[in-house]
Amino acid sequence: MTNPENPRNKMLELKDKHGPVSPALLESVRQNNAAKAAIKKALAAGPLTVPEIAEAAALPTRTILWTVTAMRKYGSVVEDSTDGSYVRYALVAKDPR
Amino acid sequence: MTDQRIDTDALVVGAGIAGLQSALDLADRGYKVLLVEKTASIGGKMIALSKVFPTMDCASCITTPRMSSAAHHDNITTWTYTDVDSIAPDGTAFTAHLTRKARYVDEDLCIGCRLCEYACPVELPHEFEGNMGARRAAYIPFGTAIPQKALIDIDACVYCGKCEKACPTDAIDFGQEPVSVTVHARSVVIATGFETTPLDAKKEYRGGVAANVISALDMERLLSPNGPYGRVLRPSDGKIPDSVAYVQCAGSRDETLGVPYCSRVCCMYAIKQTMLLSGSLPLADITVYYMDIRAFGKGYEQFYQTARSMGINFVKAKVARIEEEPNGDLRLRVEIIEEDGRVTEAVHDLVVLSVGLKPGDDPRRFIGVDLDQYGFVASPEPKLDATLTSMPGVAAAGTAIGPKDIVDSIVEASAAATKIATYLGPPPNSPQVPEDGLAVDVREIKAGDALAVAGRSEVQRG
Repeated sequence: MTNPENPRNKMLELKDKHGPVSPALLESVRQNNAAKAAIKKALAAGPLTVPEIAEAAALPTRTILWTVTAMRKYGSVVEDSTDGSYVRYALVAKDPR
Repeated sequence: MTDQRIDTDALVVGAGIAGLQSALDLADRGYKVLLVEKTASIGGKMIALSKVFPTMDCASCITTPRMSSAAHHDNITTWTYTDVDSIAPDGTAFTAHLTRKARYVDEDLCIGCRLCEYACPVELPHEFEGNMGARRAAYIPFGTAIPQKALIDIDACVYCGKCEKACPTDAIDFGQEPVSVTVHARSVVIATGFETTPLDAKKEYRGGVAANVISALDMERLLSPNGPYGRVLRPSDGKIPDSVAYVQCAGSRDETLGVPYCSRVCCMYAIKQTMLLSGSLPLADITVYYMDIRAFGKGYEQFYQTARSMGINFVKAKVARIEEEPNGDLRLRVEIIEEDGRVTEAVHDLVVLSVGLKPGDDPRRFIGVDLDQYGFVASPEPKLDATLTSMPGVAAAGTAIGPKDIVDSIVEASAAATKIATYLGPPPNSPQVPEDGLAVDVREIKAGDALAVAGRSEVQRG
């Protein structure tokens, strides 16, 4: 018998009420995770600018900047230095996520 | 949906700077105030600004004490994430129906630690940062948000349960439902604020299409010390811009947009931003394309002249169109008004559209006050009593009445509070005043007591 007070059951009840998670949302989460993985891979060799990461990851510069901005906010990337008109970003030693 | 019912002296709709000021003024006089805000934090647009003109005060430093005072005031109940569904006259008072939306987080248990946010796997463009930064599906609205309580954007939730596991106080509550509340209010203040004209309103400017065409509110976030990038970068590729252009009247004084009026603040916020930009980007060329500069307030003309003397390039011109180059640069086709009307082209790294102001909400959605032709709340006495509305017991304040700057919004908010106080009469439990004059003997007044006496005489008049 399910316990309605169990938080997990409450979540599943809400999910039933709202219907299945949209494929578009799941796809955006997948793409964001892929972009973050590509950025981490590119930065593993050392600090890079947004255009340099974009070239290494084969993704648009706009996507890289947005994702790097998110990673900086949540603590896995920091500003390293500036290179002419661009900022170099680096991975933090210990990723909190 | 469950139901609640409460009574209050004043219902203040909107917790931007005008709503906060009206609520605080009424509460300080002893009236019970219910302050409701549709978003998840109080503070309105002002809390997102970098600095304010012409004093160049930090906007957060001015707004957060007001937000905090309202949130902790004994006479103010603050409800965020609350929609006003209807407010109708009910004899000499009003009956309001509100919906407190589900945050899916127990506000009493949440300690604002953000562990749910760190655990959440869904990242989305953050509206507060002009979509240039990210938030998660479980999030706290922004760093100085009040209340510092998380909420879950249920439309973006993937039901992974990670937030629940991460929460140290078991505050996540997926069983939460919207709460319908009936409020019996003796008076109402409408402070629903403004929205900016859409970035893509003028298709020829490529706003919303070209990444490096941004709105002035986006630039406020870029200039803010806690903005999305932590510095001024252009959104297409993170370049530190060498050349920034402002296009004035990009959403105002334009019949085709239904905004024929001047939005009153765009000249001054653009001048302020150019001065801040010249500090953060000392080598950048900054150009303002304008039709007229309207620097009408106290100290505003000097502010404009200071910007000119700092080397900001003001060009009296009309921008006809903006085209995006493959590298993200922007090519502006410009008619120079002041010279011979010649048409020229200029290339900039980043273009800021000085978007205009329009009503933040349609008050007719929930209350039967008269509006003007543009949707702002109309006063029957616009010259003599700007905060009046067509309904007795209902006042309006700030940009809900029309475009205006922060100084005027705050003054108007205090005026609205005074009108409501006069309408309500003395608050319950106000000091008893003897019939023959002041409640204190004037012979006993010392220099430091002046303010207290002024406050007390105001209560008498109330």
